Amino acid sequence: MPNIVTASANKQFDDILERLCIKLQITPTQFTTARDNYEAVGGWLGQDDSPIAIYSPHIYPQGSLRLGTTVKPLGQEEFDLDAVCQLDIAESVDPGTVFEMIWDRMYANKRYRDMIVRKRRCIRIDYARNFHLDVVPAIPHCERGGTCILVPDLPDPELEDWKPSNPLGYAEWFEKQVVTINKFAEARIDPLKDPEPLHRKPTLKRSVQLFKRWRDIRFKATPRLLPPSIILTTLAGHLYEGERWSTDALATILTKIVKATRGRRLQLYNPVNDQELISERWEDEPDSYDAFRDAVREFQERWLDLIHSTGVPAITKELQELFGEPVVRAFREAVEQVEQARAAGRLYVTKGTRTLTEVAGPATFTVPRNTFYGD
Amino acid sequence: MAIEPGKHILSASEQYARMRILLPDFRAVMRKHTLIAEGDVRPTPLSAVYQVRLAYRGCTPPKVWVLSPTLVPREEGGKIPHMYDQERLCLYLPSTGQWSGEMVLAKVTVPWIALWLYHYEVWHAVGEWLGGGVEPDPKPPFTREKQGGHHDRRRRK
Repeated sequence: MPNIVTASANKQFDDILERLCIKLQITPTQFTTARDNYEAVGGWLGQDDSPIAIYSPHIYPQGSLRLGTTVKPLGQEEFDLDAVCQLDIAESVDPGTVFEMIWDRMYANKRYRDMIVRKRRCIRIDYARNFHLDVVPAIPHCERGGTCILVPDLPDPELEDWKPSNPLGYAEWFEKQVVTINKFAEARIDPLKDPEPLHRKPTLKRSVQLFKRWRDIRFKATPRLLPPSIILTTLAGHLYEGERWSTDALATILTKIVKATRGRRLQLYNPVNDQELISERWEDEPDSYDAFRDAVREFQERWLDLIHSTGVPAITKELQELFGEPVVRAFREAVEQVEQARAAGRLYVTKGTRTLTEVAGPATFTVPRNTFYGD
Repeated sequence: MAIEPGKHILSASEQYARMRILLPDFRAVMRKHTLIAEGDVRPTPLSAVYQVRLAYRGCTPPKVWVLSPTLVPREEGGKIPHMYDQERLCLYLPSTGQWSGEMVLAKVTVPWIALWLYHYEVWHAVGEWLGGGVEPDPKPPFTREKQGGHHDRRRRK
């Protein structure tokens, strides 16, 4: 019955990956700090006596924090949060003017004055503790309507322009992709199934976190070539087929990227705004595209080998090479759970394959209490 | 481990009979009053499949070897924890009643083997034995204990 073995191996693998993802994402404390800072900025911009209050500023987060796909940065790098500051202004006003309105308001606050930096498309607020908040000025994109916005693009004062975007629509699209289709649900007889549902974060979101973490490690030495999160997230969202386990989901996503990058250069548009080429960096810097294509090919081969291999030490080692040190902590946590079950007399062994399980059944023996000894 | 009243110390052939019923895919044979049983153990779905051997004579506690794959230390010249002479698995603390002759090998010793192998793999993966246990002072040599019943007071080392 190889399918049962495969199903439960996948389950065990996925359990480790889920624990890993919890360690990869920003901590609840970081989340709270980020949210407090973001709310304070929103409050300052939208305050009644603020000169921009008449444009009814609307502040909302975009990117990974909105999507639930945050990944802690490696080493000393900062983690960032993106927030949109949308003003109710017609697009006849030029982008530089809107940018300056928000800049001036931020500058008027003594606290923010020394923290703000001008970027091409946002005002960056640098906080202590390796955190920065990017405030993206925006106005409604009336022509397209809905949640579509225009954001300034200011490569230099002569070349300013509005760029279309739609972060709220994107988040909505992504949430739709997240829904798991349990296409194998009926065929599954899983001896390791947990009594309570273990899965809280959807498989696609965890797969994106793993994909991003792999990217951070893989491009650590060549940050210039680092593929942007929006590209990884969009590819994953498009290519996910509703797999239940992130082992399978990532295998599908990577295999389909390998296929899609065999021909000419991939062009990726925002799924909710076909005017926004999110892979524009690949047009300007073709070597970053080549690096991405080659790296994903290598990752796909390693991932397929890994998810079909056995032997806990070898699997742990490879996972560690792909995703870094938190793998061992995730693994130890899984062992702690087994040890707790053992101490409580709720650890069993299947009669068929002599495999540990936390689910008792007619075909299991309880693991009796023991103390390992030695000579 | 509670012992039901009326239970007695099981002979090797009684263990053999139970082994045949409880774990029919184990290859069990009687050889000169000794039960030899060999079978596969896969401690977790992601683990290797280990071939193990149990030997039981009825008058001494069971002995357990791993036949394949060969158990290895983490580094050359290193020691594998919780083994006798780096050859046999130390599955329980002697003289504590964790094992006694009324117990059934298939239901007690075999689950311990799965647990031991699980922790052996974890030890290789994370560098620490997370399954607990006692590593005795190596000085006094291990005293071979006599097989006894639950109420039998055994010699302490």
